[in-house]
Amino acid sequence: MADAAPAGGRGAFRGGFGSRGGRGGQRGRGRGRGRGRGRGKEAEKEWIPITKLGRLVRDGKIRTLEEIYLFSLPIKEFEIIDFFIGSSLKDEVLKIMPVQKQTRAGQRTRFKAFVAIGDSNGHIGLGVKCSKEVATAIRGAIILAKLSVVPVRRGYWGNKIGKPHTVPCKVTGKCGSVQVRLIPAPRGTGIVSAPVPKKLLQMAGIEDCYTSARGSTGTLGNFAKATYAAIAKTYAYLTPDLWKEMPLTKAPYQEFADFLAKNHRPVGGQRES
Amino acid sequence: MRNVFFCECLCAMNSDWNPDRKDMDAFGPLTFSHSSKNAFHRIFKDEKIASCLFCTKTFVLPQDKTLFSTHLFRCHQFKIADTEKIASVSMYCEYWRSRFQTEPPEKICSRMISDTRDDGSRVSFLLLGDFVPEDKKLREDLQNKQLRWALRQQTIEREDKSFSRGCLMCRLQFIGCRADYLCHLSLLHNLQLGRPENLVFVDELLDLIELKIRSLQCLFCSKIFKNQIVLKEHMRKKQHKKINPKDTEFDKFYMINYLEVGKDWRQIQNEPDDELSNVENSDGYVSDGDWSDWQEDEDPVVCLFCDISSTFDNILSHMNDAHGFDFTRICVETVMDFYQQVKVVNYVRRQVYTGHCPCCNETLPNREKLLEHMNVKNHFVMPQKQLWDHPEYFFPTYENDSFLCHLNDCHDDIAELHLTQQMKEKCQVGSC
Repeated sequence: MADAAPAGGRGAFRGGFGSRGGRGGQRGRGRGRGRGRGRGKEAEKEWIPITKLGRLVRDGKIRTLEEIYLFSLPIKEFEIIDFFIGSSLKDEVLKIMPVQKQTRAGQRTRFKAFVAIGDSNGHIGLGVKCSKEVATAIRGAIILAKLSVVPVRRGYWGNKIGKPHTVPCKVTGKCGSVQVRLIPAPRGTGIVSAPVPKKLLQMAGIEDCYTSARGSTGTLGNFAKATYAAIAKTYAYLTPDLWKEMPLTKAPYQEFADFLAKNHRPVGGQRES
Repeated sequence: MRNVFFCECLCAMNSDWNPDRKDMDAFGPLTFSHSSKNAFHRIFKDEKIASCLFCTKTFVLPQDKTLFSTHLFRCHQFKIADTEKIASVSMYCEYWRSRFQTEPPEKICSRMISDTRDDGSRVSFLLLGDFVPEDKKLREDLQNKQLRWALRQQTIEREDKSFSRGCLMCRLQFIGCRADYLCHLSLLHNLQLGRPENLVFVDELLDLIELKIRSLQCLFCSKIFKNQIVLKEHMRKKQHKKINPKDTEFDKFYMINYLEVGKDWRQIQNEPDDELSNVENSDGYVSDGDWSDWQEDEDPVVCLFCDISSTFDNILSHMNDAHGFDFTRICVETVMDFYQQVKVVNYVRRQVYTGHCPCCNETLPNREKLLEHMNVKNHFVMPQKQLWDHPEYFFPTYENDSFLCHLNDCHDDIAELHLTQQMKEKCQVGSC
């Protein structure tokens, strides 16, 4: 094909393929290749985990993301999230805004990206990142959003027929002066809230919900974070139906201690983000 | 503190006001259409007419840039410093033009003496630049406005999913979002324009590229070729299917050039990105600084009875003052829980929309008569429970009705009140 990249490999795509398949592509204008991760599929195999949890995930010792949540293990590598639900995650840019900072060399203006990520089926994350290029800010914010992904518990308003569609109980989240309360709603109500929390709730997979907001809701960053905090609380609140005794299971580090001792070499130094 | 104004809100109602409509089936989603905020009236377009600060002569920028500065110097002995660092020279001139009518330029600008010319003479002139605090602020203001304008445009382009264009390089009729089309160009045709998130005015960019290709001109080196086939072969072989970084014609399509006007994008690129470094706060959440700098106007709340809209607290006062309807007091008195309040609001909204009194259900021909009736008959009261306590009123009558997003559960409020009361008493007993 006349349009194909010439032999010589110059047409290598830099940057992994995001969930929309749109974030890759070589940066034009001769600005250098940027820090790429190689072609799409190869990027998966390229992941060298540096945390114990990462190693366990990579080698298939952990079956679901929910196992990690069960033991409240901190997730420090976004590839872990990608491994389990990467293909169903959709990101959405909530806002790009300019921020100014006074430095020794004068005033610096940068782009700040607010990004929400979710699979519309029980997982939601939020991230914020600054950079001089919009694309870099968005990419960085997506990574932070992935690291912040939490499970979302859905419940019923009345009869337990069909799939869960609303929050299981009233939950409240707070950030700064903004307090957000999520209240169960009957099926068909939809999401009754301001635009930004509405997006988050939709991306979390909540179909029907009332909201009640207090404080300076004009501070949309705090508003979003308070909503996220409220959504995260759905699994934090122990409702009566969860009172049943469950058998204790071993935490992954304990269960796979031998495996880790053999296969995991802790890497020193900071990882480049 | 921001002033909050009551503003008239136009309820986007169906064109026919049908007071006889007693049927309960859906009349389609209703919406409030709020008066639009004062957006930018000026747009930073390519060509702008700039008028001289002192006389009536006008110039078209950017073409007449040199002519303009020459005119200013020769005819008015005036010079503007660093014009390339001004986001909009025409707006800048407009500002100073009116400013100099109230205060003479000699008081603001600095007097300078030029270098000795060929004929041995020296000219004195006035220089205006950012050493004047007012000027510096103006420049920063214009820069900021332009950046926000570009970001707004970019947001529109990012969210628009109905972009439609015939591909420049193949027969595909593309429909979707611009980012996906740019990826198509990159992946299938190897046309590298950069990451879609860094681009703005994409339609114009594509038009420009299409123009160049149709005129048989190479995108990168600008050479002209005999025909399309030769051109495409050249661009493929020489890897010229990208934009020349030195070509300033394309500067306006890249967001980085709006960050700091006058600064070369390469310089910005070389600055370290980690100055605004990661902050890990107490709960281990890694973020980039704070979340509180994203400020926007709160969504306005519309009065239950008339078209006034404002913040929730203002609307509560308004309903009390103008209609004698103290919503908070009524809810607390009847100890309404959250769901009951939701139903009442949706009920009242529906009644008011269809022209019925929420209290006695009497039909009135228009909104004015309705409010008059309610006033006269003292019907600005909580309607009886059997009127609104139906499951259909769980569903919002209006889409995006922000009134519903500010309701507080009175039970919870009372419980909280009791709790704080108990704690107070405990403390008092303890301290005795």
